Amino acid sequence: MQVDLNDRAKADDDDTPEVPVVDLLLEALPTGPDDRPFLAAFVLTHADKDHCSGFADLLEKATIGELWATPRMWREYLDDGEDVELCEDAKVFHDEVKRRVEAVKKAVAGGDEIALGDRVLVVGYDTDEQKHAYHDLPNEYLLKPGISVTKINGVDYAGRFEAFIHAPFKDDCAAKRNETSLSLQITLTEEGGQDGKVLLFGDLAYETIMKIFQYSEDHDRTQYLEWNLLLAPHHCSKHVMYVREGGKDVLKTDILEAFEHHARDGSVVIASSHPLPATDVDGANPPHKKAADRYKDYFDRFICTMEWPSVEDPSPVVLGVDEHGAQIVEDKVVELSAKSAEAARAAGRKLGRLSEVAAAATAAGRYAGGVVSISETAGMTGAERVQAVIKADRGSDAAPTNAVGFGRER
Amino acid sequence: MSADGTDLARRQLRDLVEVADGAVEVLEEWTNAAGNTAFTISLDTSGLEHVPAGIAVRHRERFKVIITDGFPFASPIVFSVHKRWAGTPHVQWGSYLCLYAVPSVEWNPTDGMRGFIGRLSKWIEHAAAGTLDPDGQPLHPPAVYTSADAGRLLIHPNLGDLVPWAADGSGSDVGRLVAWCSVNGDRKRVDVLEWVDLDLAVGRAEDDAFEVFHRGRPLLAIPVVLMPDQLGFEYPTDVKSLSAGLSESGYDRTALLNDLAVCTHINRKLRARQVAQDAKAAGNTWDETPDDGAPLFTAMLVGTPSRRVDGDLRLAHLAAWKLDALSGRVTDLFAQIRDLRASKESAELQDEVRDLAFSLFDSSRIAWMDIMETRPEVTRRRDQDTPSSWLAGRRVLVLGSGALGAPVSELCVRAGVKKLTVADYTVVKPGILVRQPYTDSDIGRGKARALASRLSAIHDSLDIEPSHGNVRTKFFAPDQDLSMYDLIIDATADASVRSAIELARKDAAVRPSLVTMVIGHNAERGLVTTNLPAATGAAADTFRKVSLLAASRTAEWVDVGDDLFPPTPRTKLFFPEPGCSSPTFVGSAAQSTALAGMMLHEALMVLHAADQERRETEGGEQISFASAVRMGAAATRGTSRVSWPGDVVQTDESGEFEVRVSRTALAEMRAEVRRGARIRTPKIETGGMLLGAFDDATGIVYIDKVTGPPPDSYLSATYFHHGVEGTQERVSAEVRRTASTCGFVGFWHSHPSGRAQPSATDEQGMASIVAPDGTTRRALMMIVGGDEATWRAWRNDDVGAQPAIYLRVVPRSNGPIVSGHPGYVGGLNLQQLPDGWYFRGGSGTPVQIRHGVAAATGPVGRPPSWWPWRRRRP
Repeated sequence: MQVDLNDRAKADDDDTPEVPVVDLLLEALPTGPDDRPFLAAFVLTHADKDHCSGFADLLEKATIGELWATPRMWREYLDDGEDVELCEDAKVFHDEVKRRVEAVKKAVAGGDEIALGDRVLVVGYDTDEQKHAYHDLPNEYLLKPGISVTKINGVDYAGRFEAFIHAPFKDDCAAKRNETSLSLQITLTEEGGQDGKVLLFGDLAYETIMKIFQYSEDHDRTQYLEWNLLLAPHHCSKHVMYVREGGKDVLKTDILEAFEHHARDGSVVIASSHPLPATDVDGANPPHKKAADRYKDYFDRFICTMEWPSVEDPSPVVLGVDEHGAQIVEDKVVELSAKSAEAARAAGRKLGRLSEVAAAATAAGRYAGGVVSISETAGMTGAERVQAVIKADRGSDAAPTNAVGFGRER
Repeated sequence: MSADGTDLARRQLRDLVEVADGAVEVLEEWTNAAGNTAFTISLDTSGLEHVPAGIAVRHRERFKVIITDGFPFASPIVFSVHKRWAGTPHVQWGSYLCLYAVPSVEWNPTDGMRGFIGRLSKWIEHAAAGTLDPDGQPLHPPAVYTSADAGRLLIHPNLGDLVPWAADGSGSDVGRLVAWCSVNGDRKRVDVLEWVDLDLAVGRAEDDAFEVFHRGRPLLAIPVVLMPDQLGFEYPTDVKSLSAGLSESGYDRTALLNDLAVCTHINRKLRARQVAQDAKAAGNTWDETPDDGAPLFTAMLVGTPSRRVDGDLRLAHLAAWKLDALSGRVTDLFAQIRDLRASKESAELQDEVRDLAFSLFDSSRIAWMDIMETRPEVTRRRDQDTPSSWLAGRRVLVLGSGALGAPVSELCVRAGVKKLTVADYTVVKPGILVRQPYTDSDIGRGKARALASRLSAIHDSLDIEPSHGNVRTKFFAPDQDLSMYDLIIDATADASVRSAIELARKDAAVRPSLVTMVIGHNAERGLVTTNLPAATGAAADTFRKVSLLAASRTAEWVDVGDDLFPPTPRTKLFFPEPGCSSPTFVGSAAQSTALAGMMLHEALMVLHAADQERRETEGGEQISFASAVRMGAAATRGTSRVSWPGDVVQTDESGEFEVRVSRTALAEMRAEVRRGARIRTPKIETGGMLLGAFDDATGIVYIDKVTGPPPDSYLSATYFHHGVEGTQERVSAEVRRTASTCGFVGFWHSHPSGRAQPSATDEQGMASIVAPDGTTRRALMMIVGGDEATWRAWRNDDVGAQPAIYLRVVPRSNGPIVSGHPGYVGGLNLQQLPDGWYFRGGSGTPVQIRHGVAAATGPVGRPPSWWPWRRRRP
């Protein structure tokens, strides 16, 4: 299952560290019954460009078993018609979803098996549901927040995979696009019963996330809030924990405490974003250093995808679930597993899941290249930075560099 | 809490955050239970060096900072938001961070929150690197929680291996002990005297013969529980959370109540006997009325592994919880019911009281006593590694309890001597209050007694022995055993005491180190000498050496000589009281006390260094030391120090005198022997005068220096004829120069490669010197010789080489040399120069002597083989 996609144009340039995700994904995918690379499911949290770019490419080169879509795009088309502000990939995605909705309806009507590459799930509410083609899909293709799913592409993985749907909320269906993001808790369970839980909030911000916590706490289903890995919402945006009040960013510790309360030991926050800026500039897009700092304040570990394991050489972050529980697979382990995976592949043996992921991860890492400049303070330790700050606050020991005139009125 | 202080803290934090760019961030502001404003802050702690022994630090860390009352004059206090660092040094009660070991020095109000954050950041850096130091500083639990009302608890004995955990902190058992304590009058001070196990404590309480008072203060028992873990909660403020924490570590509240009850039982028993034995002492201590049913003092000690002085050793951190009167009463009740005969009723009653106790505990706030640690295992002495530390555990005798002796004695007590004897024969007079540490009420008391009783109050455990009387007869009588002291400090400034010590030391089998101090006439200079155990000489000897040094006009010592060894005695002596009062110096308390401290420190530097040296290299060369300390106008010259190696000490043949040949004198002798061997031949004898002094009081002959043969001497391989040319001038000059300290003592001559024994000629020669018509009453004869190898080695100045030495003090005899006298050789006069070839003193050309007259001058170094050498060696 692939949740969102951002294959960037830059990625084709060997001098940048960005990675051609679609190519790598294709490489890592198994081969399906139609002899094409096979992806069981693609989940789109919302239709922003940075969540779906490359989809058209992927759809063309691979067979995607199932698409997970939110009602939002229908609504945008309904409101704006062909003027809808969507990127090309989003449009392709929407067209494909519409095609599948029709295909499913037809298959269901005909009592047929749904064909390979035709499955679709619509996740969420819309107040104007009746206006859209999907509304008369059978219920099993319409998922609502508050339920949990164990099937992917029609195959039940109960006991190994579970996705609990937290959002989008019905009330937010007309809100800004980010606020309609699909939000999931995904649980991966290994054979011995150890599991790893991942919280995905898409591009949601403070209010909606708090609503999710509130709602699940009120409904006594806090198990769906637990996490080993939290994908920092909205690419590590400060709007997750800072709210604009009176022209100032005001920190809301309640959300951090909520995250903290439900974090398991060894909690890791992942920012799927550019390297963090050394300083936040007003109005800048995420990632925000402030947000990263707050995650670091509260949690054991914070990883930025484009800084992992280094800014120069970013590689996929791998969360492994094995008999020791869920943990980030360190590069050494990745390399080791990759080696044994290659050896096993050579010997024609069946690979473990971790080995496969690791192999993909390392393969992806190989494409990485390019150097990104590091800001001046990056080389300093935290303590040095703190001391520098204190020194700066005490006042500089440098004399003014410009002449200053003084005099009386003539 | 001052609003201004809070505002300032808030403003300073905000300013800091503004420029910090995220390195410092304030996350929250809140008010704690005590009403203080608190901030949750976050610091960038990334990239720190981390060692396994250090704390694990994440990229950022959050802290709770509480702005205490009195900020900015008092530092904020800080807690980590988690317990990850519990059990590491400088983290108390799980999360309290000890940032400032010495807030009075390290906390800078002017710097405010800046300094605080800086300190915090440094703390983390060091904690991560495992370099927080000094480790094991006596750490304090948060002061806000202790209550002066609960009283103070002083902990004296080490817990050592009584703790249930291993040295590295591992172990899971709960340890239970009883602290055997004494309590003082207002019950505000409890001293832990001893750790005993429960059974022993019960046994003591039930043994009617066991002493129930300690130095007049009643004893009591306090239960001690030693937990194997850090308590995983903050310093608890109520009994409920304390007992929950204890229970978590395996000590449930039933056990807690039982241990309290056992100790209450003990205390009840002790109390009954205390009231019976000394109602007043017990009553004063316990309550207004000596009622043995009065409420008991009930407390409990809780120990956790943490504090360390050195290394990784886990030592107990102790806290003392004092039960309030009601809880104490219920515990008492429970203890009494426990003692009742077992019956169904008593069991039910017992359960009822226990439940009552529990519910009372659950609603009680906790009162923590102030802990004052004196356990050596967790504290460090403030004079650690200073020269004064030499005194710790020593047995010291201080002679004189005056302007020098009294302050010196006090300094010895403070430094932790094991035993102190103070001796003085005088009584306190009004005049000495000007500069001696006595009080009006001491007037008329023996100084030693007054001093001892004052100093005995410094340490509960040190009794100071006063000796009122003559120190000479008391301590330095013949055959007195001096081995009972490690150090004798003579602060009497009394020459006769110095002589007595010199004499006693000369004959002593064991010689304690000796420090002698005197003060100059106007209290601007002090002279202190130190003689190590290896030195036979004492202060009389060393003072002599100092005076000779001063007499030789050695720049640094001239003023000392003028002050303390004036060539002519001072005529203007200072007599403070009318009549025959002892003359003394003029000087203030400030002066004499300062000089006393300076001099003691000088001496202790010597003793301390000597101890270190002995540990490192065997046998230091220097064994006698002198320092002149100066103050006031003289202070600009600072302190002068000099030291000497041991003299060559040998008892003379008569057995009456100890002869001390200074290293200088022996070196001069060697130089003359060497010169003689060069310009004459090695076989030719040489010699000269011995300059020094006889001390009849102590039976010592000092040889300070020697001369060579005068020019009119005759020297051959068998005969040394000491001339007279220039000798008087030489001696007179020496006497004048040294203010009669040093004069003619006798003769020395060599027997190159021969036995160091006198011949008949030598005997006759010495006899002639001391004959009634001779020049002196007695004289020392010194012969240096030795077999070929010994002689050659000494002459060539091989390391450690010494010649064989013969020494005899020849007294004046009243009769002529007759048969039986060692110088009698059949009536021959051996003092006439025998015929033969001789060298003259100071010349390398031999001359021939016939009938006592020079007849011819011969070739250098080649005396004819037919020379009538007369071997006169026995």
